[in-house]
Amino acid sequence: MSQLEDEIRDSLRSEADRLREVRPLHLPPAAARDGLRRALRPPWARWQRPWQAPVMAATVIVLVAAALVTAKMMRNGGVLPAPAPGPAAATTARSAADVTPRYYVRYGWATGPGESASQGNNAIFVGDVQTGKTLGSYDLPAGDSLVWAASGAADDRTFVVSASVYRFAQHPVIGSARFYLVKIFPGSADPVRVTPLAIQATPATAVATQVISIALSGDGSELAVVFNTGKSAGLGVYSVATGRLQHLWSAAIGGVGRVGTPVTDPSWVGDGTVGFAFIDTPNVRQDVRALNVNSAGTSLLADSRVVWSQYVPPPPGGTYGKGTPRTCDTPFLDGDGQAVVCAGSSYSASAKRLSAIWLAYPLATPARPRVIGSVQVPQDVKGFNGPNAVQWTNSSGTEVIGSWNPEVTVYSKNFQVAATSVTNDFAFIGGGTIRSFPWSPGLSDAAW
Amino acid sequence: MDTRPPEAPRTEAERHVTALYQAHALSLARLALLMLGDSAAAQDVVQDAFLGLYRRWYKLADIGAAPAYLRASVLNGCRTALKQRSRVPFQTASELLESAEAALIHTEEQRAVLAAVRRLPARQREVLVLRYYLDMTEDQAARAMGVSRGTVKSATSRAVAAVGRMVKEES
Repeated sequence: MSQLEDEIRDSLRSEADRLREVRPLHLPPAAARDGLRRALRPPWARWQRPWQAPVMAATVIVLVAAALVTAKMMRNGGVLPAPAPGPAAATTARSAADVTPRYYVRYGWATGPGESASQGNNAIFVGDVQTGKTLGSYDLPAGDSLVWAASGAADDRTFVVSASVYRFAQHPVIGSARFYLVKIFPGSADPVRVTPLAIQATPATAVATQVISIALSGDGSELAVVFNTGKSAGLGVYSVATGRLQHLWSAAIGGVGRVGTPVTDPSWVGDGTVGFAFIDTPNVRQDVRALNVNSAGTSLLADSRVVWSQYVPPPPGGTYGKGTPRTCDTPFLDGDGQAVVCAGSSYSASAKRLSAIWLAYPLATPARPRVIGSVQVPQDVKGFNGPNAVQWTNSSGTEVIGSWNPEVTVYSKNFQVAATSVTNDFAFIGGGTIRSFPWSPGLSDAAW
Repeated sequence: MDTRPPEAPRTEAERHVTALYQAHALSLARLALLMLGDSAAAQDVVQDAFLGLYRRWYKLADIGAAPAYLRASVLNGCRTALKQRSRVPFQTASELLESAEAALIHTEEQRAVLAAVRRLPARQREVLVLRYYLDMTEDQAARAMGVSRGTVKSATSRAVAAVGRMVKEES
């Protein structure tokens, strides 16, 4: 067999392997019997059709006429009956999430005159996407490093930030996570007001316990906190107003091997459901689950249901490199609970080209993902510095704020390799357009 | 994820067809994917094949022949889908989405070969899939396609040569 035939064989098998599961078979309950009935239909059944046709046509004409009369009445001020509430109805607050966000929070170092970044304090910064200006900052407790998470409500004015201070030592200690409510009042003399919250999600302990991610409900009243104790992953829902833990679910994570944080990417669907991503077997399957926060149990897996899942191709050699393709990073269940939105990437070593793509997988038709948008960094790319991500999505999963981090070789004037530049690029992506941010919000973490 | 309600009493046909689906649906969908280049369309073809089997279950003389019947049915479904598609002069949206997703998975060489395979006439593509994916002999492929062994041999030879030419042009 020639080398070309081998390549054809390998390519066909690789393409076939792309399909890892098929949708369930739906047999119509009486299909088999219908088939028999059609075969055994008596001869007189055939002549039913000639008189059925005019009757059907007359029925259609009557229905169309009735519809036209109804439409005319509506235009003249008639009132439509209220629609019946659907199972996927989102709350009013979440529908506001379709407004493209203007404000963001990020963390950084607040430096005084003459200080380098390493000399400054950890701080929360609030900025305006449209102008690129920082509206204000808030100093956090001092420490060597910071474990940080943030999430915004649907009003684009309310955020919650979680911050745990990390101290380097022989036995590194991570402080208990502190939570802050950030309110934005644009145009006022005091545009950023920060209030420490009473939420106590993790005790001060050794490095093992930390907040992984948080999600603020659309109306800003409840906070979902995903944390990891080293032996278990937990998801707690807290009242923002009182700090009270309303409910806690957990799952043992002993069997997940290399995956240190099997529960990630929480998001709210309406005000009664939290979606989250879960990897139960490393590099094999990734699920997105939906948890009814009013359920009575305490088991994160038993009390939630899988709404979407995908095979995750194992990276060559078992570890992700700077050019390893990623199929679906940061999978978020969107606000109306109808699609999973995530980011993928591929890298061509020969062309030194990075491609990033943002996809929405409708839960009803998961084999038909929608492309929200894609970007290419066409040349001189050495790889990507961390996976692409969805930073924010609207409630219908048609628009995202995406981020990608290419490592680009920078050449001097005489085409000598001068340096490697890592950029953190952000853009609004959706509706057939990509609007890049004219500036980088700083580091790689920001929340909208 | 299977979201069906708790199992209701099933007919013999339902039980058998469901068992066959669990055993063969994925491999048949992969076969259809290679023929059509679109996983959604491939799954549609496979669902139709199983639905057809279900409807004709009581006419099936030999249950052991069901897998071969299904494969023939899937190949027929793919041929029909390709004929219908050939009447549409532009690439469908689902194909574009498919290629965007596939671009993340394959190496550049594999992408070039697959792109070339997709540009082949339907019969040449089918013969490559049967010979190199299903590892059929020329005789088996001839029976599956309903053509002579000589036709399979020449179609294979022309298809491989065409793929090589297109890959070379691409690079």
